[in-house]
Amino acid sequence: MTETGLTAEAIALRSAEIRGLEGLASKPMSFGLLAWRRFLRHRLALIGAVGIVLIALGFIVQPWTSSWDFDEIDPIALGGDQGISAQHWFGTDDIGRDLMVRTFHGGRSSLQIALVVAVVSTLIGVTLGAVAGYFGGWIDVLLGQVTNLFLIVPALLVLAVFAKRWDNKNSLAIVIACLLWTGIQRVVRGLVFQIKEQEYVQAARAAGARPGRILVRHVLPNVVGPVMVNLTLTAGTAIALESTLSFLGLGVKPPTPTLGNLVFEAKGRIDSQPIKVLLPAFFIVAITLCINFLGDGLRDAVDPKAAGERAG
Amino acid sequence: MFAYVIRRVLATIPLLFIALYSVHVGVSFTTDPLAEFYQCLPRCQQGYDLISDQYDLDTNIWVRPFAWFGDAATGDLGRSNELGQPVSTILKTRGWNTAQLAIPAFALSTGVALMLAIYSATHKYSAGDYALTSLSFVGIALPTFVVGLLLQTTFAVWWQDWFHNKPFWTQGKHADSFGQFLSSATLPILTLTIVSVAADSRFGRTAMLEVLNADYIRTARAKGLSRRRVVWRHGLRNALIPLVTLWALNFSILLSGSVITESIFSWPGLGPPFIDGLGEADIDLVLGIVIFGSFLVITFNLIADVLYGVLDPRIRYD
Amino acid sequence: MNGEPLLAVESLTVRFKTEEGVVQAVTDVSFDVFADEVLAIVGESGSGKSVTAMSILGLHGRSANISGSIRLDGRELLGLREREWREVRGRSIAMIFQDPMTSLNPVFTIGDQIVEAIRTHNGDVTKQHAWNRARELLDLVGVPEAGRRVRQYPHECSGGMRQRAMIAMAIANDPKLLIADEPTTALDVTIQAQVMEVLHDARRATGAAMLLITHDLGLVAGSADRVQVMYGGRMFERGSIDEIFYGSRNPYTIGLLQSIPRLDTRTEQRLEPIRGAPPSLLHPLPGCPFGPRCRYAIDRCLVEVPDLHEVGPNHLSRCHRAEEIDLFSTVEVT
Repeated sequence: MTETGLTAEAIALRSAEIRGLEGLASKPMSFGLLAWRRFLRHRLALIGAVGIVLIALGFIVQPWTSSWDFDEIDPIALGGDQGISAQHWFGTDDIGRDLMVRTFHGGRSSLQIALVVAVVSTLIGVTLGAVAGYFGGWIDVLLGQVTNLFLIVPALLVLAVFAKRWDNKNSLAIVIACLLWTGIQRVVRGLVFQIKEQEYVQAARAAGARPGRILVRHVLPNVVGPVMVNLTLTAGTAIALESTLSFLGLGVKPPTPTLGNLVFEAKGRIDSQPIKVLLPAFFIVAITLCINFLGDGLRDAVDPKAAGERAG
Repeated sequence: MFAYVIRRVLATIPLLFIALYSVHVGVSFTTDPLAEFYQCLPRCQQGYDLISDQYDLDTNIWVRPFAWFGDAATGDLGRSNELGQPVSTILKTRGWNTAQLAIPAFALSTGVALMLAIYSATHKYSAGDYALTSLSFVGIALPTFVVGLLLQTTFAVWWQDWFHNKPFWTQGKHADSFGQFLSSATLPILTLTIVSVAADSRFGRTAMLEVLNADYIRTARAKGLSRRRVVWRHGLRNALIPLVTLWALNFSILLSGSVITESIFSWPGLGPPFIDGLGEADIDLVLGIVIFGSFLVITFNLIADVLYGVLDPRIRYD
Repeated sequence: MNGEPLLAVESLTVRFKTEEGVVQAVTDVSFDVFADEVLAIVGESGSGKSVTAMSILGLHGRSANISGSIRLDGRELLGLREREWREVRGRSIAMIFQDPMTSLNPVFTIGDQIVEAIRTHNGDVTKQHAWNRARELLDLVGVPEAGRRVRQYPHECSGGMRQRAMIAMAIANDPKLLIADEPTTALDVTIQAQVMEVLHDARRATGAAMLLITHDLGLVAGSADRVQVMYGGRMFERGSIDEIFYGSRNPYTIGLLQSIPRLDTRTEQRLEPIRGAPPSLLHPLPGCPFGPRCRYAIDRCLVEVPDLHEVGPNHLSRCHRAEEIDLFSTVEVT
């Protein structure tokens, strides 16, 4: 009858008549259970989760399976640049180190950095968000300006400047983290604002509950969801940022391999031996994809209203 | 309306100042142009003093920015030791090269992303939507340098192997003719565009969907408006509001993206000197580029803010 | 109630394909609306009343499976092409929605939106003329300083004023039928009465019939000629105001009536809520949708959907025990 109809699902879903009804006649499900079901249904997220676990495991387990060390030079592969062979499944780099080992070691480093970035930036963001939301007033305004500041400066340029100075794995991670906390800060701030106004919180305050207790008891449960999403998505951004920095020759320097600087080392010979570039690049993309799938699924599980963003 | 613009400008100025100040201190803090001199002292005392003088290294790090701003106000941005030219000249000539990539990329990616977003939102869950969303998903996962490298390898090596010709230059800028310019600029512009479109179209789709799900769209349909009018007049007009924010952000992304792309394709823009300058502690150059970049981004954000006010009457009158 | 009905809905069934399965939003609903009357459709959330209303204007999309018949002045509407629907919407039939804040486009002025409604269906009207008309309409619906208001944005007006603007927009083209979907739900109680009055004035000024969708029985009492009660996507009772309010023969309607607080309720008397929750439209149970919650339910109720029983000349009730039950009955409660 009617053709494509812009608001098909929209009208259907929005009308309260349909939305509130699923499962009302059956046993009521807790929010956690509903979120879990939605997540499970999101197959892509599952693939992402499985993918990242497999990759991480692969990186971790690898040292036991291979005979080479990441910076060990194979004397037989004199002159380096060996192609695929039995001893070196993906060949060697230009000075004779096994490429696969280096890639997997690099993968570990990259994942490590991503993890640290995700955790630290989320911590910073949550704390600042809670402070801004709870205390409001001039503290909030000040923090707002600071957040704006961080949001506005061109990320890579600024990172490049600071990364030069702090270029070992952990310091670099913290530098990156210092740039990525703004997103979660805004979310937490908004949440705290909202919750602060709720009557049950006002009642708690009237009864004398200390700010800490209120934050933990009322705010924290609501924050868990967005935090999980943020952790995941920030890790993805971190991988991209770190590998880009390393690719430019900034960031982590050889011999410590990361996926990014492996590409950096190999880019000169991309014409003759593209595999050296493709292998670490593949992992960068694969990891980012899996993380994005996972993060998307988490976000969908936590906030079904964002459903329009799903990959399909 | 006018009051709103004034307010936004006034709010941005302190932000601008603090940002540029922080950047200056940051750069000064993390780079040490005297590094190479420590070993050879006291032999190279003269060179040491020269550098010290050039970069005001005797002054307190927190005071230095003011001197720099003072000079900058008169147009003197210092001198690049590596390139042997005044920084302002470099900004002009190489900056123009970067602009030749960034501006077409911005225009292209904005337009394409918008079209894709509208298509996706109005054909939600169709095969086309599914394909586009998946593509953009993959696109987002590809860091800029991977896209650049892939494009470069494809056209530098593989295409040649298969088709025995090379339609695009994969290194450097060639501008003897407009045709040559096009063929050398295409790959870098394409790289920048692909990366931007991937992120933009997803955001655009969400913004469009949110708008199309709104009650006033339902009202518009109930009034008997044609579908086209509903989408373009009622829908898009509202979706432009978040989109404008995105475009300002996009600009920031393009700036960073240019650094990477220029490095890969050896394009004589501001990117490679920036990276080299960091390595060689060519402070004036680095400062010039970073501060200029920050200034541009902040200005763009201001423009976006003003556009916001134009598009959304609710903001204007607050 | 003489002659042919203006709107004749017959056996309307609406199903939606959703992620979780097929939702039976409306099942076998039939009713008529005659010119110059007000028919109220009453029901709680999920009863299918809004879905019914939107079907009349063809506002559902691809995911909706609609069957049955909807005839306006004898012309069949279901199956119309989009182009034909557009001539009906906003002209022969106009709809007023629930929340005027979100139902009006925030980036266009009120005048813009009314003018748009006018010029969409009257292409040859000049802009000047349309704007004058918009001002007149705002005047008609009781917006003070209409000349100023017409150039304002929705967020600059109060809720009541926005709803008046919506009404003005709806009557701009002299529709034959006005559908008001919960017109006062989003408004303050004090404004509700005012808006209802405006609605009635507008109706009288245009001579339109009105389909009033609401969950508020109190609203219905002062506004409607006839009432139809819906539950679980089905029609449960239909009759005149008096028949429903004083002579209901349906347990659900009676339950609704008894749960309304009234000024003359004695303080010791408790309000009687209807226990239980609305049925799932995704997996409808066999038998009467209200069965599990009904005080008068018998075994048959859980197995067989009741037919509509004629308990009065124009009074229908869907209940196996319709003849026995009434407001004051002492029928055995099970």
